[in-house]
Amino acid sequence: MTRLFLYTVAVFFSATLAFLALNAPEPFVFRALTVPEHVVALMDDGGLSLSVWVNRSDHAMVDPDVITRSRIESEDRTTSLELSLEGIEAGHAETYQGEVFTKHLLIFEPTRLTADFVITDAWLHLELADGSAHRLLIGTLELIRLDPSWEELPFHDLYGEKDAGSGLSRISHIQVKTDRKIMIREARIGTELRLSWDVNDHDVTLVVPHDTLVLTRFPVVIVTDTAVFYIPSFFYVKDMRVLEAHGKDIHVHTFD
Amino acid sequence: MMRQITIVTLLLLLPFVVSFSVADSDYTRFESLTLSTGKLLSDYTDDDYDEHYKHVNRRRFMGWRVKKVNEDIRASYVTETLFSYYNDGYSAIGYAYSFTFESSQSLEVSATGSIALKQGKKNGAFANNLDAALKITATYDTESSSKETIEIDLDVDPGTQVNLYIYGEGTITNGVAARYVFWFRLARGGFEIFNVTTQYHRLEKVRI
Repeated sequence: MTRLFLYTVAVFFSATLAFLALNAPEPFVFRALTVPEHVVALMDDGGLSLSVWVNRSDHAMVDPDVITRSRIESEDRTTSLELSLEGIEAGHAETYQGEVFTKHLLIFEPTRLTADFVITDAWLHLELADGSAHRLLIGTLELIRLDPSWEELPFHDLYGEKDAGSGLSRISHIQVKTDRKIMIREARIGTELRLSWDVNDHDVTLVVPHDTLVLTRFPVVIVTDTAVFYIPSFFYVKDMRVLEAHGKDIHVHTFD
Repeated sequence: MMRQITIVTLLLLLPFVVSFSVADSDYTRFESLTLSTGKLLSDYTDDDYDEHYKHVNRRRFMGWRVKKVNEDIRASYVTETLFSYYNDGYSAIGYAYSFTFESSQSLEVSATGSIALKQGKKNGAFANNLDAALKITATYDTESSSKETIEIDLDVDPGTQVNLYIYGEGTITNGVAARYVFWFRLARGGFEIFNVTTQYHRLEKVRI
C-alpha cells in the first residue's frame, strides 16, 4: 500500500514537473531596431535626432538616466563624433515579426563644427551605466555647417510628398512656392544627394533620387548664380508603417 | 407582484440602456476626409442601415454578427491648422519654435447606434470584443500615445502669418454589426475604423 502511494506521488510529481517545464514562459528578450536612414541636420539649426525602436518602454537603450555616453562612428571606427544626449521622446508603436515596437527619438544637443561632418556608414554607439556598450546601425549621417553667407529661401508654401502608392518612408519630391523667381544652378540635400528640379514661375519642384534609406526630415541647399539659399530643416512626413515597409533593411540588435 | 415584474423588466432592459451611445472620435472632426470610393459611416442613410442590417439580424447564441460594407478603402484627409504665428511688426523675425503635439494615432474608431466604445481608451476601441470580431490585430495599436515634435526655424517677414497643418492618407473600414447573448440582441449599429498610414506636414506663410 505504501509502495503504491509512493509510486502515485512520484508519477504525480513527475507529471507536475513536466507540465511546469513545458509551460514555463520563455525569458523576455530585449530588442532594439533601427531602420537605415539618411540623417541630415544643420549644425546651427537645432539638434540631431535619431530613431530607435524598442520592444519594451523600460528598455535601457531609451532610458536617459542609463545612457552614460553616446557617439556616432563609422563602421571601422576610424571617424567618430561625441554627442550629448538632450532627451528621449516616445513615438508611436508598430508591429514587426509579431512583436510590438515603440519608436523613440534620441535627441542630441546641437554640435558646433568647423566643417561638414559626413559618415556614410554611421553607427550609434551607446554606453550604459552597467558598463555595456551597444552599436546600432544608423545609415548615412551628415551634419552640415550653415555658412553665414547663405540666405534662407523666401517661400510661402512648403511641403513634400512620397511617390504615389509607395510604402517607403522617403520623400520623393518637394514643392516650394518662392516669393521671388529663382534660377537654380544646383540643389542638394546634405553634401552629395543631388536633386533635379522644375521651375514654373514661383512654383519649384525638387525631385529626390530613389533609394531605400528613410528620408523624412532634412534641410535643402539651393545654389543660384547670385546666392546660396537654404530651406531650413523641416519634418515633411510621418509614416505609421515604417517597419512593415522597410522590413528587409531593418537592423535588429538583441540584448543578452 | 406588479412591482416585482416592473423591476425584473427594468433589469432586463438595463443592458440596452447602458450600452447605448453615439460615439465619435478625432478623425471625424478633420477639416476634410475623402474616400476613393464608398462612403463614410456619417454619410449612411436610414435606408443604408436598413439594407445592411439584414445581414446581421439573424440571431445567434453568442457573439457578434458583422457586415463590412467598405473595407480598407483609401482615404485622404486634411486636419485643422496645428499652429499659427504672425509677425505684425515692421521687420523680419527669426522664428525658432519647437512644437510638440499629440499626433493622430495610427488607429481611430467610431460607432453609431448601440455599439459602444471602451471608456478611457486614448484613441478609442470597441467595447464587448467587437475588435476581435473585426479581426483588429496588434498592428492596429490602440494603447500607446504618440507625440511628435516639429522644429521650425525660419524667418517670418513683417505682415506675414505662418501656418502649419497636417494632411495625409489612410484607410477606412466600416459597416454594421450586431451583438447577441443567448439569442437576444444587445447592441446593433455602425462601426468605422480609420487607419492612418501617412501624415504630411505643410508650412504656409500668408500675408495678413
